Amino acid sequence: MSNAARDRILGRLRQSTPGPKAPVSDFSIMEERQWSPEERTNRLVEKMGAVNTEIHQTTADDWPLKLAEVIKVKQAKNLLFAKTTWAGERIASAQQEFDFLFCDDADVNIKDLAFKAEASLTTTLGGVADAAALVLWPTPVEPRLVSLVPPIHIALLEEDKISNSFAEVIKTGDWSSNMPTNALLVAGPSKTADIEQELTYGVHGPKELVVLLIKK
Amino acid sequence: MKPEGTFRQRAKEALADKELRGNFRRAMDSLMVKRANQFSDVDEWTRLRSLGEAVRKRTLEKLPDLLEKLETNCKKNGIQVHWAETTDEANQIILAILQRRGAKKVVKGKSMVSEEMHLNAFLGEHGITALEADLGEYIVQLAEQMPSHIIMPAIHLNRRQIADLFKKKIDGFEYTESAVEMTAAAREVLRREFSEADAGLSGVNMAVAETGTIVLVENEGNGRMVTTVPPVHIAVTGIDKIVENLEDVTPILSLLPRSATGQDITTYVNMISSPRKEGEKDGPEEVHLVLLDNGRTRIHADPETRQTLQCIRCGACMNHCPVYTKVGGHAYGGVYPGPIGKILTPQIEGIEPYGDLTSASTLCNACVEICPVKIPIAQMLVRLRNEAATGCPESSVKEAGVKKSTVEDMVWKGWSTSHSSPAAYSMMTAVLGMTGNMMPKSAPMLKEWTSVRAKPKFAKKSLHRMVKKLGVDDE
Repeated sequence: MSNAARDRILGRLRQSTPGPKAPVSDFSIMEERQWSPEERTNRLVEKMGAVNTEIHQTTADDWPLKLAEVIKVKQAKNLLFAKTTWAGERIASAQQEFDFLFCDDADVNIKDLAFKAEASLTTTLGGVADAAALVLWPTPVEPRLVSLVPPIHIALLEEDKISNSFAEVIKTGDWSSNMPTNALLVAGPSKTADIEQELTYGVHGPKELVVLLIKK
Repeated sequence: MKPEGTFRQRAKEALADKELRGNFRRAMDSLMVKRANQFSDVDEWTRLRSLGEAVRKRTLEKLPDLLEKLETNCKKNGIQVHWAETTDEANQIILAILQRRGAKKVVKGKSMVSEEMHLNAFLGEHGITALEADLGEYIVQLAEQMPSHIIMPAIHLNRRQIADLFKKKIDGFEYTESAVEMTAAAREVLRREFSEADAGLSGVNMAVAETGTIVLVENEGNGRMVTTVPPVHIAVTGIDKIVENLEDVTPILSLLPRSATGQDITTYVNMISSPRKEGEKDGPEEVHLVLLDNGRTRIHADPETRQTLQCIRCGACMNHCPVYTKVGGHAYGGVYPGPIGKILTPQIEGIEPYGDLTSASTLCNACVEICPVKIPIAQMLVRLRNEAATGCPESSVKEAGVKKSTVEDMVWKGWSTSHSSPAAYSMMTAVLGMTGNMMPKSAPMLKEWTSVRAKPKFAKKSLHRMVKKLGVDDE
């Protein structure tokens, strides 16, 4: 069925009457806005904050302390994270007041773990300033469910990895020849306005998104 | 599918429903303001919109090649591609995938194409439960209704109506009109479903030919859930939702959420390029992409109607339409309401059942002015009205000419003759001046005309004659 359908669909499309030539795609507008590093940070902090993202500015030395503090305030009993990332190594080596759930153990059932976790931590590839979002590439070490299922998602963002725009990110990272299984932009906690347009956070994804912004 | 009654009948009912009117008015007003705030920089809007239009036009120009390229790259990535000419074929393809997997329960992300297919009902007939997971779609499904807006499916209901519905349909729901608590109740139910579902089904916002990537934008996370948790992910899309390159995604990613809901970006942009790879711990084992024609090749055939397919489904035309905002989505009787629905539905389903939608417009151009990819909706409405009434034989429009009327043809022929000959014109005005007012309101044509307008009153002497009498040269 499908091959014949395919050939007929493509055959019909090839018979279409040609129209005026499509206008030239001028992409200059997508990369015109360039900001200083400080402006990029400020824009991202302001805009992500406006959609209920909790952002803590911290440093390369202090972020594990900040993390412990955030988890304590939110009273999460456990944290799902990968112990083998640069970030995970720092947390796993310290005594903490919450349980560790490792998403990179060899035979882990990630689905069970993710639905059990009260909070999770992931690294990010960086952020984009124009629309204000985090860029995530889940990996075998930090699987897709880690940033999706637990009610609190804590993301580490290094300030020097905030780009001007998504257009810039895909160009400099040569994404088009290099797409991962799943790539994500995440702008805030899960939300809906499906009931009378009332903005409500925490529908299906995380109810809270916390960004630990690591200043240089 | 034939809708019940005519647009006029459905609109009349909707107009009399004060609650419905209030629900829409509130929502549409706020959406218009939010969108306007996004595009206050006229230069940016103008250039971004031109780029959006150019990207969509280029896609349609190269559509067959891009579909082939998309197929090749998806296959390379391990995504299985299926082609369907009709909604029935698409339903069968999906059923076969689900039956092979022994699937009994499917969770769904928002997909208008699956509404076109009436997929939920079809799967239900074959013993498979399809559960909508987008909160608005979930509400509409519980209410056993159709979405009334392509972005906000349950916009026609207010919190009291939704609370009543939840009380009736969700076990253990304590009546509350709090949106926060109702959302929490839905989260509770649907979390279980995500975890237990045998398959996930989603729509597609863009499919990137260059990389074989499916792009989904959403706020709730249900789209990520249905494409990540279950072992199978099936994405369905019309053959028009393609872009050539990854770079082409960027302007649409900006235009779509800003036009739709006035957001800079949706909470999630989810880009899927393959099923679970060796060593990965989650994600579906199988990803399928179903490409549906359902009349789109016919719309593509003609350069003018082809512009319909530029649509990125932002719904802004609905929010700004003086007709839609009064009557709501259900009055249109089809899957796609509002201005885009008025040109899309008759072309997909035919002029016979849906041709009357093209007249449900004053051609005020509000939709054209805000369309982020410059679809000339008003021009297309006129084209479709012509197609309905005349239907040139080589027309590619479905059921062109079905509304042809001999009486109407004769009247226009007479009008045309009298306006191309001074003698005939002078005779016509003289006759109408003397006898025109004697014509009863119930005369053919006049009856339709006067159903919503005052009957024209003919002057004894035409303006033309009076001016001539004053000595003005009429040459």
